[in-house]
Amino acid sequence: MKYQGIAELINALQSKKISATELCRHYHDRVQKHDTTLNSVTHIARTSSMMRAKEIDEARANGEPLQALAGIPLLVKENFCTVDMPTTCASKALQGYQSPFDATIIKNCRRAGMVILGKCNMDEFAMGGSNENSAFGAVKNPWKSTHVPGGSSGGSAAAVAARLSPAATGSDTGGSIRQPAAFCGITGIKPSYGVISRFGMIAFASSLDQAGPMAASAEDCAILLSTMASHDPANDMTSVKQPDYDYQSKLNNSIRGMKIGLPKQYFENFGDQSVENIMQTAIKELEKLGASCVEIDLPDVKHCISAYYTIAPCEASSNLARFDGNIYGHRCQHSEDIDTMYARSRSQGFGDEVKRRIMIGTYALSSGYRNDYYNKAQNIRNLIRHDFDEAWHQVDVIVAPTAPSTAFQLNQFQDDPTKMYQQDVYTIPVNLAELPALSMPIGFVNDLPVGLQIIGKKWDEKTILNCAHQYQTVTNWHKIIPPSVND
Amino acid sequence: MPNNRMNKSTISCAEIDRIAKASALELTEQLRERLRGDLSKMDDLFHSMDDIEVCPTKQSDYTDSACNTLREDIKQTSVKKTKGDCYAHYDESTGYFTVPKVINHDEPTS
Repeated sequence: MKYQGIAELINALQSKKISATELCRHYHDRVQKHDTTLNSVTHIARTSSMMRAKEIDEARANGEPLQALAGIPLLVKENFCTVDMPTTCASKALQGYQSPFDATIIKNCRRAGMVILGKCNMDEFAMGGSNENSAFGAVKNPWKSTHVPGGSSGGSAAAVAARLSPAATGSDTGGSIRQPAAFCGITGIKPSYGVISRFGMIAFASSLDQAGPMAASAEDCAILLSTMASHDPANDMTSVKQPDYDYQSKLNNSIRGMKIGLPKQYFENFGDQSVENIMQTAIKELEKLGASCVEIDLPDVKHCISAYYTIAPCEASSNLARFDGNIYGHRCQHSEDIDTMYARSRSQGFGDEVKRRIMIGTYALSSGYRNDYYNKAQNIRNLIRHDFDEAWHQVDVIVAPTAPSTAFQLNQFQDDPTKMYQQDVYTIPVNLAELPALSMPIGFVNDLPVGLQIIGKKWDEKTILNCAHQYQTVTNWHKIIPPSVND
Repeated sequence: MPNNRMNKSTISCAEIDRIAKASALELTEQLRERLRGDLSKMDDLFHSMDDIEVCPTKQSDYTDSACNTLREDIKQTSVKKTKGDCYAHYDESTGYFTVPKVINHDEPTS
């Protein structure tokens, strides 16, 4: 299959070289053909998506005005509420749950004319970095089916990499867009906290959760982000109004003179030499484009794991208290009293990783510990923010690894899940500091993709998209399709 | 202050049961044992923050020494009914509120 970005698909639709119905059918066929192996798609809305595509084709034939993204297919991560499909967060606890409303991001995409093909697998309640913690079963990496696609947006990343859809939504609490994007060889951006409304995105850790687009290239992500981002004060008090929502406006600017920071804490003692060599080649490519690199110091990012794995489970234990079998989802069959009903329903509904994080959060917030743990972690978060604030005096963007290695094998961390938490070390600081960051493919090691992370100043998504797009105009890593699905 | 903590954490079964109850979860024996190990490791992770000096940073909004305790009810003297804007029209003799007419039906409308 020939590579086609969203901009090219828009041109093809507008010039009537292809119809929205044909495009929709093409992706449905690919899901049917390839997803039996990948397990990346949990629900296919064949009828409703084909109907929507047909409506768009008719409107176009009648010369009616259409939005730019009219007819572009989209897959949606399972944690975004959709009125016409189940929203389960890949959990038995929400089995069969159908939301009475669309998330704001979904409304924005529908309003722009996008056709929602279906929902994507994920780690249960977005808790995990491998997509092995799902009630729907593990997702496989399209580059090597013995390896994980990353998580928690592993279904979205695998589906986009396998070209089962040109785009998907993801959510990123501690790296859940960027790490799977790196593991699957696609581009994914986590915007600054507040750019995309969280309304209708089922909460994991409310002070860290942020939605974002996942697609093949930075240009595609810029097009999608321009649609997904909006100010939503009526529904989300953390949504922040931006001066404009045109994230494509700086894409074609030269990066000559751009100052790139290379944090020494991210590069010193980097374990995987092959991955590091590829990163150095990518950095040289950015220098060839006119950017200059300088080493910077982020002394407190080393504390990010302990701070994050205190804050996130605390917020999760509070957010997930609502899933008690009373209003939502699964309720146990037999119970002696209401307290037993709550506990039994939750225990039957949640998977082990979710239970683990709820327990960690409850422990950290329990009497006598809150000041020692949660408040201390919040103060460390401030230290990390401060480190980044200092760095922005010297540089325009920061370039760093997305993950310590390429995708790891399925079940590699089964014996000690807490070891997997260490894998998030390069992505977590960005969430703690509420910054925008993207991951883009920059090469391969042993047939598995390597991702590079570009971090920006708060609200400066345009500069990191510009930097990534300029890199992608001189490289082709983002255009390579996994051989197993390249037909 | 330096961290003098020498031993690795061990969380007891009773503590696991207490946390499970607070979390509204029923645990199988196998999961309880696994979580005991995991929570002990997490406790070590939490304690790795002990030595980190956070003084130069601005105090977090959440940091409040009183927030971790249940507040005792303290009876406060209420605002006298005759005082304060919201009681400006309270008539102590009748016990009713009197408010100015909003629509005066006696006046001709223009």
